[in-house]
Amino acid sequence: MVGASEEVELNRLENQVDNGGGGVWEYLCLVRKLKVRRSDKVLKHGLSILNDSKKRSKLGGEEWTLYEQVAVAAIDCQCLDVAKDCIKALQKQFPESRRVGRLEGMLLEAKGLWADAEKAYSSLLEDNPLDQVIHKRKISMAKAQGNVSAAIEGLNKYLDIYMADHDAWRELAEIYVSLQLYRQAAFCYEELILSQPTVPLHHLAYADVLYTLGGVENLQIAKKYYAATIDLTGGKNTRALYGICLCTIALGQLTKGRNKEDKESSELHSLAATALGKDYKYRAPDKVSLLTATLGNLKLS
Amino acid sequence: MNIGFVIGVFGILILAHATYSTIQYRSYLKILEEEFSSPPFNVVVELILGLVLCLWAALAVPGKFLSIHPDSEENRIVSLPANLDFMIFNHRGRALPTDVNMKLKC
Amino acid sequence: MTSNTGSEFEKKSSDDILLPTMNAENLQANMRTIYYSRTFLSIIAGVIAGILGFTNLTGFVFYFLVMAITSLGLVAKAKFSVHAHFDSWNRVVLDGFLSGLMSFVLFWTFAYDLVHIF
Repeated sequence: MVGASEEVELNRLENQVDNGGGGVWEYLCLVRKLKVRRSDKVLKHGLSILNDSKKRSKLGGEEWTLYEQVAVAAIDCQCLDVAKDCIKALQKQFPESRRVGRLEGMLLEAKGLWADAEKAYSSLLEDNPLDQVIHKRKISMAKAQGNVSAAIEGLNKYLDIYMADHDAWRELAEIYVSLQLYRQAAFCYEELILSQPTVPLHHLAYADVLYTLGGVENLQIAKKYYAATIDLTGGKNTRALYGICLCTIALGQLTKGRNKEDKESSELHSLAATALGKDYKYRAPDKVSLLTATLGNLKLS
Repeated sequence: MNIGFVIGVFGILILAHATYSTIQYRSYLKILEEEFSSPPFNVVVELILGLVLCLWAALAVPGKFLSIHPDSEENRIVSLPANLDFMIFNHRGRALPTDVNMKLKC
Repeated sequence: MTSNTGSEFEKKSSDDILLPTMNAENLQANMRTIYYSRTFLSIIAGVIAGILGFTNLTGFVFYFLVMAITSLGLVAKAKFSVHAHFDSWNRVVLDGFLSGLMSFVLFWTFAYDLVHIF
């Protein structure tokens, strides 16, 4: 999870590192901790540490973690030579390691040698059939080849065994959304909300899916989940505020004043609209007029 | 935190010195054959000083209080981590030019 | 300011069925912080009570005094907004009180013996 203050810190460090200031190692550690994907930056700055033997020896045992991080980043950037060298260095240090074997498999994936990668992963699974990360790699390999139905099938099988893995649930939900299978995606988001009830972004995604599905009941539930997101973020999530506005308007159109909750919902709507206005005035004063125009249009249509 | 730790050590040293002074004072009283009523004034001052320093250290060293509100700046979640276990490599980065100069020198 | 946030909290829990959500991990970290502070200070209080030669009730009164000062310091450390860092006042005022008493007595007798008996 990336918190607001952590994000500020990350951006500050990134700026500092890009402008040649110190703190490269701190930056790389933060990237690893927050699990953000900044492969180009990790590759560039990680290599600068690895190529400087004085800096590298200062890290001690952490050196190998950095090798792994840079190897993955290099694979992601298609700098296969660098990745190969990093993996070679790791292999020298840890022969027979499964973690290094996984990196080799990923390198094969990046080269597009799917059959070889599949073979490498299968032999690793024979060693340890319970290795979750390798199962996930196999699934993402299916996705990378464009075989989404196989990926879904693999994920479903995987989730039968490892039900507590919320990363996998999120991946499945995102795949379902990309295929417009909203009912299934909603189920995955329900699981996610159950396992991590304090993460507002799951509530938000669930509400988005329900709003997309439409219908009075779904819209009402979606509004509740948008409200939960606002509660958990202290009203600082613009998307949730817009969601409230859109839901109330869509509900008003569907029920046409037959609903007895109408008064309450219009109150909620105006509250969300004022919160949006305040936020825009604070962060983007020149776009306030756009906002008011949009909200007015929504009401009319 | 570091300053707090040094202050704590200093406070404990002062307390140790106060203990030592009191023991000396007791043996001095024994020679004079007087009864002990209360420790001498400088020991009391030292004890108060030691208590204050240790109070400072005890409040400063164990770390700051963290906010428990889910919507505070440090807890508010603004983005989910990239799903790194499921990352795939045949993305548009492949078409972008790569920096050829990058090389691992060993 | 403290009473303000307090009333807001109660209003939330009584009006709605919504449970007050909070970050349990951070709450636990805060409790651990308090525990360390209290344990250390009860040891220090024990040593001081021993050196001063307190006996009987005076010693316990001294312990209460030091713990009250600690509570005050903890509240000040939380910048007087207790509900931003803890779910109730008891956490700041009472938690760790009895476990601290044990170490207090131990170090009280230890320092007393060291100074006044041997």
